[in-house]
Amino acid sequence: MDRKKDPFEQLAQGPSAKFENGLCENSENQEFLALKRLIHSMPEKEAPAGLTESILSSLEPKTVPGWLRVYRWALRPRTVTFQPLKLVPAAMVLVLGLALAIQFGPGQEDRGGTGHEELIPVTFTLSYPRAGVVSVVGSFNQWNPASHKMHQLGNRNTWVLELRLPAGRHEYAFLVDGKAVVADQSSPFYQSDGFGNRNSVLFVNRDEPANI
Amino acid sequence: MDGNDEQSCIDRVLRGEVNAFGTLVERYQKPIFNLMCRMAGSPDSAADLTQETFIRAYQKLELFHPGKRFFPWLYSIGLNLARDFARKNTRDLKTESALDPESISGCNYPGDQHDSMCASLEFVRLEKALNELPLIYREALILRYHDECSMRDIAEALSLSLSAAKMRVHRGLEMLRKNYTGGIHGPQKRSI
Repeated sequence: MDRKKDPFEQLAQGPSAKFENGLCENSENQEFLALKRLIHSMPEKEAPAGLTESILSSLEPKTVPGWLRVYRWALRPRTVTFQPLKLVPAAMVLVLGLALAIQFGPGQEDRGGTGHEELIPVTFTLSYPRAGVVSVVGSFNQWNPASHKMHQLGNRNTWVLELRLPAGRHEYAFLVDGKAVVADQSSPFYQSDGFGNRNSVLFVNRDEPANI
Repeated sequence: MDGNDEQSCIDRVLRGEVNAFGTLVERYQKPIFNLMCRMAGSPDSAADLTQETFIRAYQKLELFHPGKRFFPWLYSIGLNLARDFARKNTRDLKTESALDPESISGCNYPGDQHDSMCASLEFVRLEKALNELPLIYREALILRYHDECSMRDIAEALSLSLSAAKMRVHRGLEMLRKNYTGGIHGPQKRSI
């Protein structure tokens, strides 16, 4: 049984201790000390012989349901111990693992070139002499005409744009003067956009850059 | 036996090992029997109540909260049984002393008979003063200064809050001093 020591109890350990500690300054405290010591050494009766056997003989083995065992297991407090010396390398390993998971974990390949994955250079060209403004719209820029505008070469007939795209399949088209959707005539693959137009399909390979 | 050993025994009992309960009985039968001696009129009644306390604890063992100490929980069961017994047997209630009257004569003491006899007389006087205290104060003092329980264990054994347990011990000691030394307020009336 746990015992929480108080100054009086410490004094009550022995008759001389109270004088050595100098805490017992009045007769009332001395009376308390004497009483505590007297209670502490009060004799006890021994339990009758054979009581344990008598109790055990009247008990039936218990059968506790599994859910109650699990519940009791969950209720039981536990002590977690660690060594600071081992905690530092463990924390470093954890941080490194998290960093690797963020860098190379699942979901990184579908971010459309915004992550740190390898990008392959792709050059788009379109011959369209009468155009004022030409943009490349596609699955890689969410079909946004403002994000990838092409520029004219010196002869002013050819529009060019160089992009860096992740490897994989991309659909695209050219948007001329903000209204005409023009498919890339040089692309061998097409995909209907469901609105009567055709989108060109580009397969970007990791091993070599593409010129469209 | 520490808390882990107790918990291990309880786990084994709950797995169907009745004999594991024997370890707990051996460990705590003495303080429970002495509690019953203070409450019951005879050693036989005290033994019966002790046995009933352990059987009741065994029956309710699933309800014992893992991680807590077993003794305060067992003590509270015993105290409730003892109170019920005392209520039913109020007229016959007579506290069983732990001191053998024959031994107080000094006949059976080896060594310095005079000192032994004086000590025994002191214990008789102490028991009388303790028995004049209300039950909750008496048990709080015995748990604290004889069984060396922590205040938290006393609170649980007596179904009190921690501050109430501290107050019972503090006031119980003051009341005991008055009873023991025959203070100006005279002995307290015993109540259950």
